[in-house]
Amino acid sequence: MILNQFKTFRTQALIAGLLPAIALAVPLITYLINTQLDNLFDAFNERGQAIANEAAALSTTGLFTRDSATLKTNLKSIFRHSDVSEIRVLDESNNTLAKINSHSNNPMAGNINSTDNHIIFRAHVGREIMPIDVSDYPEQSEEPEITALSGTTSLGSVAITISTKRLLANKRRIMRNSLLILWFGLIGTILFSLALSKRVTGPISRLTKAVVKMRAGDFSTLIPEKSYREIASLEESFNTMARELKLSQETMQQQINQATSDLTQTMEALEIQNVELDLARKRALMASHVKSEFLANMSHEIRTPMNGVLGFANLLKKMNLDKKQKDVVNTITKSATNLLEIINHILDYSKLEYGRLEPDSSSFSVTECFEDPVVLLAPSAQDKELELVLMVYSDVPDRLIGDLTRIRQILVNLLSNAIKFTHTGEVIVRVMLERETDSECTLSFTVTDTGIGIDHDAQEHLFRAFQQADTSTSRMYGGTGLGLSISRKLAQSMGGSIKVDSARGQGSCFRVTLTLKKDDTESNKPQSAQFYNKSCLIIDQHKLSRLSIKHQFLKRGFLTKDLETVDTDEPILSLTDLIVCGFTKDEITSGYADITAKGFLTSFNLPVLVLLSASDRNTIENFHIDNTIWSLSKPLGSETLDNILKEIFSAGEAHDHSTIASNIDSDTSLKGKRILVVDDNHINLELMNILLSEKGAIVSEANIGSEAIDLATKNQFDLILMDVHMPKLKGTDAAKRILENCANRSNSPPIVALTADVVPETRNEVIAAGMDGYLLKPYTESQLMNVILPLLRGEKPQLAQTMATTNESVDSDADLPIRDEEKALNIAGGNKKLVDEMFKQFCNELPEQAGVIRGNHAARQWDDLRENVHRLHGATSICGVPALNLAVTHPEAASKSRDEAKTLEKLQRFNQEVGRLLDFRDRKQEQHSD
Amino acid sequence: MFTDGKLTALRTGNTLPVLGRFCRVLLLLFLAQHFIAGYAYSREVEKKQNVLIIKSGNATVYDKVISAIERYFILYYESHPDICTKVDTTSSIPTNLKPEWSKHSDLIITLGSKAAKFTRNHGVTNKTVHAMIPMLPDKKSNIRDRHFQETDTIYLNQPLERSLRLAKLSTGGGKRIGILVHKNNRPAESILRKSENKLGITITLAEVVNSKELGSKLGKLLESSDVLLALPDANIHNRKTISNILTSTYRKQVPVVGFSAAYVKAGAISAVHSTPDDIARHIVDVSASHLSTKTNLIKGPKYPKYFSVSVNRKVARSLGIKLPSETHLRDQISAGKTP
Repeated sequence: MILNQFKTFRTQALIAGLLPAIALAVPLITYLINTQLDNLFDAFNERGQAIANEAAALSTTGLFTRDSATLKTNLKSIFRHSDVSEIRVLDESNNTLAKINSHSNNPMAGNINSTDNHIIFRAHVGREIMPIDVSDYPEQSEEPEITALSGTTSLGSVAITISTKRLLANKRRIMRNSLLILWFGLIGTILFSLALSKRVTGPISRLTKAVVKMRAGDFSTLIPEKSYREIASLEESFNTMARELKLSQETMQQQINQATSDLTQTMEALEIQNVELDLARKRALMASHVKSEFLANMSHEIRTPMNGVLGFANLLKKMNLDKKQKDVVNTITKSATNLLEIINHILDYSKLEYGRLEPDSSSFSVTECFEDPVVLLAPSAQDKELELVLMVYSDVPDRLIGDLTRIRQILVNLLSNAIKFTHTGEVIVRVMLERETDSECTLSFTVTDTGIGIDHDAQEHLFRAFQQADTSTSRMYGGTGLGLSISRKLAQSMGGSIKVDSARGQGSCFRVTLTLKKDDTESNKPQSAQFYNKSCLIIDQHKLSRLSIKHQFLKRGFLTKDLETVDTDEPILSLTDLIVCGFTKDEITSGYADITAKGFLTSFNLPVLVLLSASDRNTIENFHIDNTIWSLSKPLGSETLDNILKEIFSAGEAHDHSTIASNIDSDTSLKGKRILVVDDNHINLELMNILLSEKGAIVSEANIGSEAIDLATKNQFDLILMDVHMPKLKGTDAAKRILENCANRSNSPPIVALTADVVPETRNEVIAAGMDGYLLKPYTESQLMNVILPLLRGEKPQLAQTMATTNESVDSDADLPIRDEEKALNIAGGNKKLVDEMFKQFCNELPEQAGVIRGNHAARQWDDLRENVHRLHGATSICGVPALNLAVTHPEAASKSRDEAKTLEKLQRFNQEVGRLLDFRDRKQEQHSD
Repeated sequence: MFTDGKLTALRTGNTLPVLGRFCRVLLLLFLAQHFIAGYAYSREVEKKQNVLIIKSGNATVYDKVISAIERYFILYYESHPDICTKVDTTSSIPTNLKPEWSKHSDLIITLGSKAAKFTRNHGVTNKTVHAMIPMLPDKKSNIRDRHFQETDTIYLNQPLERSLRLAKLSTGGGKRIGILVHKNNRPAESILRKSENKLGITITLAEVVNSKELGSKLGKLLESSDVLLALPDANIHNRKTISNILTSTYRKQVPVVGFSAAYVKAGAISAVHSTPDDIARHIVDVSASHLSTKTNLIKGPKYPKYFSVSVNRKVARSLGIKLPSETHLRDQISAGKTP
């Protein structure tokens, strides 16, 4: 407390004023006192000695004459000094001649010793007598040598005893006065310092208080201007500053108010704009959803009959038709296929434009990825007598991780275009590695043709939607103009690119570059060389074809020798184990291939493998001679080649050769399988019935979902094919009911969804219903088999594997995450604790709120419903739950139309998202508790 | 100490009265030489005389005396051309004398006892006049010296009577005269009684044996004296005692009659003394007799013929004693008149 007082400015100012004064005054007074006392004592001593000298001078005569009376008389005057108490006159022998006392003035008064109160001063008499010359002439007063009176220097001495009472009194007086002066001086200094400090610290204290008030916001504080000079100037300046601050504050407040008013108006305008934008957004979303629904419906409506057309057309092909009828069927098939392709392109483009296409990331065989499309399109090329060659470079890894479907789609698009726009020559597909690291590699594949080429100007807008090279191309070759655009979008969705290098009349080269991760699993180990000790001779006039064939045989460990042509007496022929001959269509047509193959057979006892640029089965089988000549269609499929080679080099096994142009499971029998087909379209129903019956399946039919439930409940089926979009009861709902009813059984039947719907909502519904497969219409027979056969075998692959590989649509909305914590942190300014608290509270209140919303819907309280949904929408916006946030918008939009069903539908999704969110919350809590 | 010592001298530097007196003396001598037997006849006319003056030291007073002698000699031979036409004087101290200094001197004048002893010791046979010889009380002093008894010697001291007269005149009516004397320099009792009778005074002597009793003796003496007569006795009156003596006497209101102008200046009320001019005049008088005749005049020591009186008016005023002028006092003393 005391120390705090010492810290105050006033105290310090006071101390600053007093301390120097005290520091100066005390030593000064001490010095002065000492000096004065010393001077006093010196003066006393001098005075005493002077009195003694005076007494000595006065005693000269008396001492000279030894006259006491004279001494007394002469020395009487000494006692005018009141402090002289005794005078003693001593002769030169220190004998007392006279002693005079001040009290009785009696020369013989009592002895006075030198005590503390008295001091004795002595003076010699006659010592300093000046010699006086009394002679006029040198010899007049010449002192005799013997008896001259020497004139002793000292006649005697005088001892004066002086009392020190006066001295002590003076001393006391000096000290008293000095201390009084010091005391009063200090008091005066203190008072002066107090007054001065008050004059200085007072205003400063007032200033300080005023500043504190001003700091607290009170600018109206003014201080009285009653000081002088600098302090007065400071006070005046402070008051001026306060007034100006107040004025500026008021001005600023006015400006703030004005700005606030302007801002409020702006905010209101912005709010209006926001509302309008929100409405526009909702309209856009609605339009998007409407479009999605339209697409889904349209795809379903279009694909379903198209599926029927194609299916029946294929069935018709298998029947005995004459040539003309076969041509007509082929035309129908082609037209339907083209139309389907156009529709697929349009739908694909729509998906790509309005949705977010997420590529799949799964391991795939590079060879198979590129071989299948090439083999698939080989007949088209062969029909135009084009040489189609696939070259997979040896440094390309066998397996990579990526989206096989997308890559194939791109290749199919590019290959289709190449075949379409090439009339003579060749189409070469090259697959190569551009860059490789430990974890990924940059795969590049090119489609090079000797077609009509593309102008440089046309290349700039080649990849634009609905753009072809020029209008003539569109008229001549048809097409939608979406293929390249789709291919580019697909490539870009995988982080790749497509470039073109072409010139009119010089063909084209399309290069696709993708960066894919490597597959480090066992399946990526290179294929072992199966035919290590075998040699073969490859003969093909087409250089690249020959090179491709050679590479494939090299991969299998063959020692190869390739020639463009060879004579039958070529010595190398005798050293080889296999002769591989490749023939173009012309060579086949002209008979050269037949002659050459049989010539080899005649001349050498070696197996001959004939590779034909033809896909006609009969043509191929014509070359087949058991155990001597084998024939395959170019380009070679790896599996097909492996099978052929095994057959060639294995002994005594009969093998049924057949041209394999697509991946079809060898065992396609459905004999004895009980399959339930549910579809509201009797055409599709009939088609499925036929397809499955041909395979040996026992097919049951249902038109509606309820009927399907009834049949499935009463009967044991091995498989159920359920159409999704059916009236009254949706396929997914029916599937749920069936699964519920069959839950008691040991194994409930697998259910595959059949739909032409491209929207991802449908897929989500399928997943949510617990269905095991997903087929997108139209689907081929092989696609159908690929999906149902594993299920019939009891395999339970993941849903993604059982989906059709084309025309998948992934709606971007469904891919929104349940929880986006980063978004919530951005809203909360990075306050994680706040974000967690908000999320926790939101989740705690969500069930109740969802129940209120459902109640509102049930009570048809549309306004309350809209309001509650809108409120929840606002909460979801800031809690980082984007999926639920979007799901809330649907009921909100639907509630405006007061459409109960529509609203209910939207609420279902909303409820789904609520459930997902709560599950997510529970899982997180479990993880934390673990 | 108690007086400022200012002395009113008889002679204040005015030479005309001195010349007038000197002329009168010469006139008397001139007349005397005609009427004093033997004197005129023994006189021999010398045209030029060489006088050697030997001084005892380099004191200024000797030079003053010598200068006065020379003046008086000039007056003398100017006024007595028939005796001598010129007198060449030469002065020197004994140590600076030239060899055979005595051969060329017609007359040797010594100033001071040292010079006189010098000539005595050198057996000078020239006419010699010894002047400024102090009468020292010591037995070995020159007063007993036979040489001085037989030559013209002029004492420095004044005769006792002359001092007593002045002492009486200085008492302001008192008649008791005290004298401090050393046991070795006590004046003859007869002289004292004679003076008492003659002057009508009472002389009290206080004999001092040593310096220690000087003060006490003085004190007792002053109690019975109206005036203290200071005789030139260095045992009593010297530079170391004078102040005490004067102080003591002043306290007792007893005037001191000194023996020198310096004493008067120091504080004595008066003193009878001979100035350098007085001494030079007397020397010339004596020398003139030697110069004019070969016959010896009356030789032997003489008291100074000419004297002066000095008075300290301030001391007299402080003691309340009114004294006449110095001239008057001198005349009274010369006339032998004392009230």
